[in-house]
Amino acid sequence: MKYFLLIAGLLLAGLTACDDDTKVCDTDTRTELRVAFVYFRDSTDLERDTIFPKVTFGALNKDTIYRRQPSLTGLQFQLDRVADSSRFYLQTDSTAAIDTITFRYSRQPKFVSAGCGVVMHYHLDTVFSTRRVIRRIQINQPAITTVNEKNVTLHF
Amino acid sequence: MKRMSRSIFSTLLLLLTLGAAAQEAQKPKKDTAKPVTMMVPAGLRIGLDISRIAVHYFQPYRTDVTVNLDARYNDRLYFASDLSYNRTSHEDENYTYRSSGIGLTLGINYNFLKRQVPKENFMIYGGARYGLAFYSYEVPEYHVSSDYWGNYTGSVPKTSQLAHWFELTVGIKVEVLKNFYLGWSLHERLLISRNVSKQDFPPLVIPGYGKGYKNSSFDMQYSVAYLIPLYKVKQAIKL
Repeated sequence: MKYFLLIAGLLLAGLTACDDDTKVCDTDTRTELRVAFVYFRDSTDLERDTIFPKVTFGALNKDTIYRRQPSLTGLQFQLDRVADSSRFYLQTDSTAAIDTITFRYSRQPKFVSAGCGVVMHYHLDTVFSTRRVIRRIQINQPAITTVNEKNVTLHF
Repeated sequence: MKRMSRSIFSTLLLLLTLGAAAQEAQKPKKDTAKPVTMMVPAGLRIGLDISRIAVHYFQPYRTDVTVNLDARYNDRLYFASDLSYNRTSHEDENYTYRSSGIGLTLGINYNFLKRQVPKENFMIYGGARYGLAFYSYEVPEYHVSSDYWGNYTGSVPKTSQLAHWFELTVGIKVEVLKNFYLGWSLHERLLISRNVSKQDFPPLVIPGYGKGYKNSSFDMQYSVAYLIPLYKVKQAIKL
């Protein structure tokens, strides 16, 4: 019995040693700001989630993230990892006026796992925009992490 | 892997239970004979955890050395200690990491088996330990990648830290040659210094503990040991 236990332990010790976490990244490492669109209806005095037909969105002086994207109920995008603020433009339809949105935040690099490395966590301080189409901005969850949560609501 | 560790733990616990139960089953049913107490040789047992060689083979960025010490106190009780050294050096596209340090655990082992033969040196034991590690680490470079904005590069300067933990263990030791032992043990460690694992960049490895970014750590050791006979202890033997 004791020699059987010794051999079983030897095999299982070998199996335990294989556990190399630096080779595996099995968690979501995207830290993206999630924005929902809400449209205000005067007739019912209620706000409802809405869909815009042709959304164009991107950071100022950068490539577009969404180009005339149909049927969008919101946006999901990365903030600048190097600066403490990011500015974006938003056009809800090809004929609509363009609004500029500014996000101000603090950044904190955060270790996720040995295999995934480091991601950037953000904490939103303020969000403001021009008011051509956007009526109001609401911060729902200022912490932007790998958790899938709605961070900001844009009211139209 | 966590599931596999639990399966290993369960399998070996089952084997240990069967081993202990087998001894119970061998007992005569109506034995009224009183146990005989006699003096048996005891001393300091010094072992080397050879599973660290396999760890280095499968995880080349880790270099570990663990020395196991135990000394018999009485019939069933042993003082036990592990001395560990770790050096870690990892580099990939995400980050570069370097650390080194030493760890120490102090505690006791309790032999679950009653000896039936005076010179039988086979033990199935459970134990508890307090562990302490002193180490330093640095992250010379890490990257947070972004296709849209470009990569962010940062670093963590060299820091020295202290971590401590509580540990439960079960295992076996078998005397395969005179004073020469082979054995393995399972270790479940619970980090007391929770602030260590919650840092923005925690240590990858805490010497003697394991993965420094986790609040609990499972480990298995496989040791070869030599007993240096130094003194004698009283032992109850049921003949």
